[in-house]
Amino acid sequence: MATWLLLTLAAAAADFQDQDKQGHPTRAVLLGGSGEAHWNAGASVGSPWTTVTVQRGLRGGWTPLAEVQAASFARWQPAVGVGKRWIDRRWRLTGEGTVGWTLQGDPIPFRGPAAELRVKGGRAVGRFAPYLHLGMRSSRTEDRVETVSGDILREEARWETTLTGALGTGFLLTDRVGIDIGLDLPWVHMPNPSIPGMHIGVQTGWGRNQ
Amino acid sequence: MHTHGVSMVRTILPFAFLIACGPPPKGVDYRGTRLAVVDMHLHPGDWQQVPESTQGYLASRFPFPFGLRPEQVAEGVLTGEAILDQLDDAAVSAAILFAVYAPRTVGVATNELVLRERRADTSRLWGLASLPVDRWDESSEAALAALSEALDNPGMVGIKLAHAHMHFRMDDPAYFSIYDMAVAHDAPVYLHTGTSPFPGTRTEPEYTDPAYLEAAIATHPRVQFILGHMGYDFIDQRPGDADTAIDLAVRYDNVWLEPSALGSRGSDPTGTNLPLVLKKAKTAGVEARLIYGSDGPQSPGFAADYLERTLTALEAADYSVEEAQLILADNASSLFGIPTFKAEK
Repeated sequence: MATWLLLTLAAAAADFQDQDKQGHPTRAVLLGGSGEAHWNAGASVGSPWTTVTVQRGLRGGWTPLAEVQAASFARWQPAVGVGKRWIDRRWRLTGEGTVGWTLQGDPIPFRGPAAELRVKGGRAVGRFAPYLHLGMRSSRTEDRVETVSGDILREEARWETTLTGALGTGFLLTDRVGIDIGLDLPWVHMPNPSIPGMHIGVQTGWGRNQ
Repeated sequence: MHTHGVSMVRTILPFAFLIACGPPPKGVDYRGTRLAVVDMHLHPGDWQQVPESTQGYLASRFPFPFGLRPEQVAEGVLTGEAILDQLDDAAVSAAILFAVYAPRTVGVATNELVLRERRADTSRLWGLASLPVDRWDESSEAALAALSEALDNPGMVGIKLAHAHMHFRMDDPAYFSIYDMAVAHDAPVYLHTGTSPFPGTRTEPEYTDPAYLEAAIATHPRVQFILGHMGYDFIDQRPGDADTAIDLAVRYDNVWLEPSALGSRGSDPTGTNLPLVLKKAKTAGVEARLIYGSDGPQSPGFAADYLERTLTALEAADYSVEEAQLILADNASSLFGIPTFKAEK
């Protein structure tokens, strides 16, 4: 029984190293860059971060994407952007750039445009897809000081720089569905310390499979 | 019998685990000697009673993501039970909780709230009462009567004032009736001195510079004045009016010095200011009139962290074991008339 299980797992692992499976939704979302004409979507929930991503692969490894990130459902970061697979062999390395908005309510209001650059890297190891994300995000807001009567005393721009990061592994469940678990390691509101977060996610995809 | 033994082990193990993970024995090691600690400056509170601008200021200092939903964190550290947990983690024996009436700046923590939170452990917690000073011309009589009633409670062992937060001048004789009340109740008076980082706080010297307290100190020799923060400039993070505070302690026997908050990671990033003011106090010969407070709980772990930083600063300023014991616990016990605490081994 145990031998049968091991052989089955080994066969499955070999199968998921197949070139066709490199375009798996879990790898596309976590390592970046969808296969040409693939649609991929990922969603993760955790503390504090919850994320939804949709992306589509184009020729040459380009991948437009749209995403919404939320921290404790109190800080929202919608964005659109594009990714480009730089390396796609045993290891995959993808660069992504996004522009969007940061929306945070009281007691620390922050509303303004944002941009983020990040790299996603990792490799396929059987059914697993260990990954590392590193990035930098910059947001701008206007601090407004008002009198009780509503007159604006002064307005001044404030920039917030956030170092973003995540570390985890995906796991391919079927040809079109995978899951992941990871640590979220952003440094928001520098120089204040940030507490690492955790998430679990699911990824899926559809479209031409190549 | 054997089965019974195994059963006993299974029964005892969870409790043994609890004992092993319980709070550390009360007291700290200082130069090879165990010393008890009383933290004379802690704030219980109600987040809803803090003004919006100050909520924002406080939230911005919480580690991410706690600042996004600070109410939960604040409620988790501001209750009497939560403060006791902080004291346990810091190995502190007892503490004094402050009432605050500063609705325009840091908010309101009523005398009733302090007495309610004190019930978490009346053998370890006491309170300083306060009073509202807004519209003083009309309401002073009622405010003083309420203060007197609060001080009648044996759990209230002194008075807390913060001119910069409460927006009244340190040298305004209209408010000296508060010190008369202190005489009547034999209650020490704690006064915030120095600037404050909170939004809406008065920053002029008349509200922050302890020199403006001299008239009150000189005319009320029976009142014990505790100069909180020793005149520290929290805005520019420098000793500010510390020399003035020390000078008052040199010239008046009824002046005490409390170096809370000024040595925290946020207010003294380089860690040099707390040792500096402690050294100045020792050089001036008023080391025996220092009294320890942290100004916590602020955030989880603050009370323990501030105590550790204070011990480091005391050692750097070359305080003896005997002086440290006075500062860390015995001065608070004698000044406020609370029990003397001993360090646990």
